[in-house]
Amino acid sequence: MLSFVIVIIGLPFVAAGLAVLLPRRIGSLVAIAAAATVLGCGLALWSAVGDDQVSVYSLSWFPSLGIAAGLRVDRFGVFFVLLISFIGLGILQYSRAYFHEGPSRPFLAAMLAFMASMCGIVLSDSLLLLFIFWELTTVLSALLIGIDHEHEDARQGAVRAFLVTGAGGLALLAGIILLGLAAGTDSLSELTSSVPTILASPLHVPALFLILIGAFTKSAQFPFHFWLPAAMAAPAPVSSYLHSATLVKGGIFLIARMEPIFGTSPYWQPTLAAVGLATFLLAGWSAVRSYDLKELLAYSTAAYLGMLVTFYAYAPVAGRSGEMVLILTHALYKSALFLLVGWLEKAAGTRCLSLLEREQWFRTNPFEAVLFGIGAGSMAGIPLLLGFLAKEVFTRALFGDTFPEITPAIAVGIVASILAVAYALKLFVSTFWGPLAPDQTRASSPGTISSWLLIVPACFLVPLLVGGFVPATLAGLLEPETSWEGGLAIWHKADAKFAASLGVFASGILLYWFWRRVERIPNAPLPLIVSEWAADRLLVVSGWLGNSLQAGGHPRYLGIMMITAIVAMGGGVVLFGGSSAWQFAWGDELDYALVPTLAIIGGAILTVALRPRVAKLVMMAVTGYGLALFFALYRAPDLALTQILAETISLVFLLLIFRSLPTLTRDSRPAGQKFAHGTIAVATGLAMAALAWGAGVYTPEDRAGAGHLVHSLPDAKGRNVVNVILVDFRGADTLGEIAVLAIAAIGILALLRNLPLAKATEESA
Amino acid sequence: MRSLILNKVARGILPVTSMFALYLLLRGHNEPGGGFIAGLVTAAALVLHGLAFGVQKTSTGLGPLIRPATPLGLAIALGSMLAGPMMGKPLGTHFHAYLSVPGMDPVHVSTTLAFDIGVYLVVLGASATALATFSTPLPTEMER
Repeated sequence: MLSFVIVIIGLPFVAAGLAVLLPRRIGSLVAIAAAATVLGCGLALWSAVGDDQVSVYSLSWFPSLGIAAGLRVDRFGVFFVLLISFIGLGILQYSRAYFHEGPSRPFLAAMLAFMASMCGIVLSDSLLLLFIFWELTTVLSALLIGIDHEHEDARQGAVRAFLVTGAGGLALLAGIILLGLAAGTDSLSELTSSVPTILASPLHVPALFLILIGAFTKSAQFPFHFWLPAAMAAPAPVSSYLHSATLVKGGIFLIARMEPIFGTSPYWQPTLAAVGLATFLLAGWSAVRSYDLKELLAYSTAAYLGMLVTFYAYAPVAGRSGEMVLILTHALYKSALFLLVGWLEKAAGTRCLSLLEREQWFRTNPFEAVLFGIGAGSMAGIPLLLGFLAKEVFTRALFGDTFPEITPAIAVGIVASILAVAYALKLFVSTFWGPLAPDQTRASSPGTISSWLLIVPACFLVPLLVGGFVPATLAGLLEPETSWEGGLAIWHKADAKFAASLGVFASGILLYWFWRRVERIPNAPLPLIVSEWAADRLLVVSGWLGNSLQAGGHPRYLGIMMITAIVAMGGGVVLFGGSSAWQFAWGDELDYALVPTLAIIGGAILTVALRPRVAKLVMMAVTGYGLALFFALYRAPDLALTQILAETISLVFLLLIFRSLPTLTRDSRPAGQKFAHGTIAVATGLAMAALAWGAGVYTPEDRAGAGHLVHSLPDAKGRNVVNVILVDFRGADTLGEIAVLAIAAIGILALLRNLPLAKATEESA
Repeated sequence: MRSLILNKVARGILPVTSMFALYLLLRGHNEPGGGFIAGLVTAAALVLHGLAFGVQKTSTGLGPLIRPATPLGLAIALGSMLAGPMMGKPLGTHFHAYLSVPGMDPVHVSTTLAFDIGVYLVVLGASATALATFSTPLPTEMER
């Protein structure tokens, strides 16, 4: 089983690498083969996992920190793998037909890596591993949303999605750490068995809320919903993938994983129910007033996710039976509808309802209208479609098995369901029926539209039809252990719930009819306006902060860095230095130090005093070589060698750069600025000297170096401790450092050469 | 800038410095040296070559050799860190072996050496990139 898991997570990453290197046509075939293999492995796992069976594989990661990379195979996770790979496979095929010259390499690579990261989330047992995959999906989804990076909208949408979900990711990390402190582990399987300990800990409240913030941002719940409509600047296949089966379901998945741990917490149900129902209602309202089909779909996605959050709010009481039906239904119809809107954009040349509702598209495209109808019907939850049963699962969770008195939650649920019927009608009826003949001039000529743009969504819609007719079979297939009285069925009995759902349909139709008559866009709900305004303000403030720190002038950057360094170093010396350390003594061995010391001091003074740039540089080099001599005298040959080489090479590099700069003329800085620069420089030097002095006289009880010396030869087989520290004891740090070096090299190229990155900034500036 | 003496000296120095860098790299685990220093030594040799024969010549002659160094070095270093998890040990565990060669002391080979070679390649690649970029005249828009 573990090998299947490794293939599922690893193969798409490998294929992503190949997609970058191979020609586009072959790359897209490789992508499809990879997605199909993942789907096959998922099916193999599905047949292997039994009811309630959880297999955990723990791989050693950072044992000294008690962190393991635990993987986990259970039915819920594998269900998600199937969903991610099935929808992903369809969308990859769709995108081969959708894009003019086939999908681009960055698109393929990002899609595949995203698919792998999503599979990683759903197969992680260790929460830290889950977090890493979670962050990967954040980055990759921003890249996918901004894949048309030449469009301003796409870039803005990507930045918004990244900021919101990235901030949520940080909250999630903090929550995971707090949860780990409370329970002593970050493994899901161990967490579920230590629930009483967790709930008894005071840390569980912040942990719960931080983790929920992570989930809410990812799943676009109010008040973090606003990134979802902005992300609609992405091309249809991307929207379809991110907003149906994968990205936004990540938050729901996390909530589902947390339910066994936090479900009995007193904060679980009120928080989830409030946020979920608020989103269900507010996003539903926004969907009804949308005139852009993709925006309508985006808001309806947020609304459905709100419904799912509400479902999990009541899950500890009502049970989780039917959760997979709820998730599957939405993933299928929403991905199909996004893809169909992608077709409509090509066929009708627009996705704007204010144009479409005046035109009669049904007569020319009846087949496509039926496909839209199946999707919209599932959205509204009409009988004989899977959407009806999903609605039943939800009402059962909300109402319980009997119909109690009407609580505020039930009232909100009913109103939101009415809105769902209304926007589903709007999606279907307004798109296809209108008084005028369709304007064919906007469209691309019919022959150029590939039939794959309809075949793929049709494939997604088929299970909705089949499942709608034989719900019990489908439920048995998905959740064999599910059992509640009557089970999932098309018809139970004429009771209050039945009456309520009839009422919902009638009211929804009336509402739609009323809005068609009024022909005025209703106002956006106030809470949405407020939260979007707040988000805009936040962006303005962060932009102002960024601009004031990153003023684009070298003196300002250096000043900020130096002041930070002074505070950090000076603070360290003052706090930990102690007063007894300040003793002055001149030992015999310091006599040698006179020559290098004089070189360093003289070089420093002359660097400031001399006028021409080249002279300044040479004097700086004198300082550096003086330091190297110092190292050599006091038995640090590695440091001396490194210092000499670094000094030489940087001297040459600086000389090369300075050729391109104009010669220095008179110092034109105002006196105040000169004084400020001088103060900062002198203070930095003093702080650095204090730190060096402090490090020399400070005697800690437990020297890290002593341990390194002891372990170097017997354990790491090396006599050169400096090198052993670099490659072995602190190898991970060195790896990070060389990665930074490589990034710096790319940065140099991007800034100084005509890389596309540099070009884009120049144009926008 | 072109001088006959520099030319001759550089021609002779380049192979010697390269050998010296290799020596520093291989002995680094026990004596002063290591991947970082060796990378800097090679970079210094490149700088000298560039000064003597013109950077254009250096990039066309040595560029294809050095261009893949940065990604390759990162991959090698990362790969040597992953040896641990592959053998069921924590990430970053290193392995050592002693090969017996007739007529010599046993030769110490280890994954730390692979890691150091990765460091060497990245340092070399990054400095070569900087050298090539800095030494070509900047685009005219930047001068304004």
